Amino acid sequence: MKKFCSLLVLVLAVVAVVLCPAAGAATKAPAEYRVVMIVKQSDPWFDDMTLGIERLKSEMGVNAYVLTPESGDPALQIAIMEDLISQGVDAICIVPNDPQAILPTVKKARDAGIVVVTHEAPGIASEVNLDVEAFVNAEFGALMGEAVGKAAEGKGEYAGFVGGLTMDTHMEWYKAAVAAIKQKYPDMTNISDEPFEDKNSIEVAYDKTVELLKAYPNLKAIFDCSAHGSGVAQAVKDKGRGDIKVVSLAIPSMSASYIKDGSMVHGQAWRPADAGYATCYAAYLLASGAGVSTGANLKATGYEDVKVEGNIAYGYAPLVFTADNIDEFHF
Amino acid sequence: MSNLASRRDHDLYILIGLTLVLAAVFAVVFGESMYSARNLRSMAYQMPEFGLLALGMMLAFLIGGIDLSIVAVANTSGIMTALVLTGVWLPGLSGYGVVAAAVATGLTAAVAFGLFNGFLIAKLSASPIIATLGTMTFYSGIGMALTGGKGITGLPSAFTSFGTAEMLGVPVIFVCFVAVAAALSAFLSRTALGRRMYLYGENPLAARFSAIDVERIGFWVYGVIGLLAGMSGHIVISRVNSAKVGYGDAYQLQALLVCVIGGIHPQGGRGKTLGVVCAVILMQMLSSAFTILRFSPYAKKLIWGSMLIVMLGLEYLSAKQNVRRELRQKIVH
Repeated sequence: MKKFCSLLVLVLAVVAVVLCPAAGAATKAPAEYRVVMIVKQSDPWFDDMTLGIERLKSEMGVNAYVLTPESGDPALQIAIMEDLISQGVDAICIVPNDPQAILPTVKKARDAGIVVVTHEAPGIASEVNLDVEAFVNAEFGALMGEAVGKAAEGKGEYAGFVGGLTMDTHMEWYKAAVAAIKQKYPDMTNISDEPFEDKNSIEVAYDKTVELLKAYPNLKAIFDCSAHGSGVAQAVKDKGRGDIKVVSLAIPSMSASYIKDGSMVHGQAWRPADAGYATCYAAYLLASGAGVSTGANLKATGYEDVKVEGNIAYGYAPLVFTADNIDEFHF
Repeated sequence: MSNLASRRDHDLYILIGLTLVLAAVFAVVFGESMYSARNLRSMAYQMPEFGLLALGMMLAFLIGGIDLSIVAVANTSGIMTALVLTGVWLPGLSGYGVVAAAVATGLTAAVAFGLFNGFLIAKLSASPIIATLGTMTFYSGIGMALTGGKGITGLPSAFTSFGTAEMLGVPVIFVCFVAVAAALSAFLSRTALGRRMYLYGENPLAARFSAIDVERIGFWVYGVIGLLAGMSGHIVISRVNSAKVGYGDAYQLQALLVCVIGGIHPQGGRGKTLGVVCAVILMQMLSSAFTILRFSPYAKKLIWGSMLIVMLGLEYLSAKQNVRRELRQKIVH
């Protein structure tokens, strides 16, 4: 049936091309569009993203596939991009290891008429055709803040972590979370104006939490904007402080056991498969001339009604983990 | 002696033949997607940065050493150049003055890094693999301290235009690479010093007893390696318009691989520049083919790794063969 359908589409496309050559470009079948996603490296996160792009290929018929460099070296991503430019693909999607370093190659690609769509690179959005983000950072942070307030029942002291003070996205989430708590749960107090740094390390998160528990015995909740909140949960567990609620950015492969035993009450992230699907589908829409504007449907969960602002397409795709659903995800 | 030379050329012909055969096979299999003018030019843009690193590694191999710090030298020298270019260091310069000052700073630093390696290895007799492993961490640590791990961006176009410039349709950086390779080749085969480098690599003890100043040769060879690495670093930052610690880490293994495939004997004393150039082209063709074939990263790693082992195996077998042949000749005479 599927074969028949695609054959029909192909036949129709050929007929259309023959009948009206001027509109030929607009009637190319999806399978004729070569959309390539270059991910950062091979790990559970990007393996899940690959699943999304395989689904796009089977559902929409777009000739989309993923290329994975041997390591996280930006030079390898650029080499792959160069090769793709000379092969003349229709669109290149990339999750850049070093957004600034790919800019000259992005220019080369666009000069050659290739659509370039990035994911997780809002800083260079003005230089590419489109950047696709899973959500507006402030909304994601607010969701985390509300979870903190709800878990602590709106009372008591709380503390927040980020990976590092220089990490822009972590800081945006942190500020939005604190603002949301202040607005909805005015009885809660933040013990520090600035967040603590876990340096993107479970060990550091653990050690700092142990120090915090000693210095602030009345703490009711801790949240972590980096994915290393499992260190916080472990420390709370080891010190027998089950009354402290832990909320964190979470990756199932790292945090599943804590979410299941309740030492992490709320974990949130976004689904790499959906992000990959939406990014590549957006690239297909741009390459085929359909374009992506506010309200566009990128067909992936959370990206059905994107908001386009400053060349960035925002979805609303936060993924909240619970003890019941955590086993469904493998990234 | 002439016997030895002809045997070496024999190995080189096999490599050139292999490259041509592979090129022909790819022409049949991939056709346009491999041999369009656009792809050839794209490959010419990609080769110089790791090609220069491979030439540096070749020099280390020739004198029986190794240099694991080349990528770190390239990176840190690029970072220093970028710091001058963006006016963080030596502010107040403008136009081509800043470019000249920046390149001078970067290359001087690169040579100094190289000479420090040479000092450790030649003067203090440190083991090359340990010494350069240490300096690798040390040099990239300097880069890390200078930048805090962040990228330096916004280099002036007077500098970056070098990375994209073309001469009669050929990238200027590729012309530079070929010129450097030709100069090295001439130096190694035509000058007395080049000859001494081979002798030093073949048998350092014998070289020492033949009144060859091995310390001084070793010291300066590592300096030249630093210079080559610095040039590569400059090409990198002009191509990507930014400098950052860790860029090009994957080139370390590639440079080693290119040398081994290019017939440079890891124990020193044997190999030709032309072999390395052939191997650089071979590697680039394979790497482009892997992208066309959509190989997974595991497959790529597996292939690079097994190539290294197979080449070392072949090297071993051919060396054994040669020893046998020579013995036989001696018995006959």
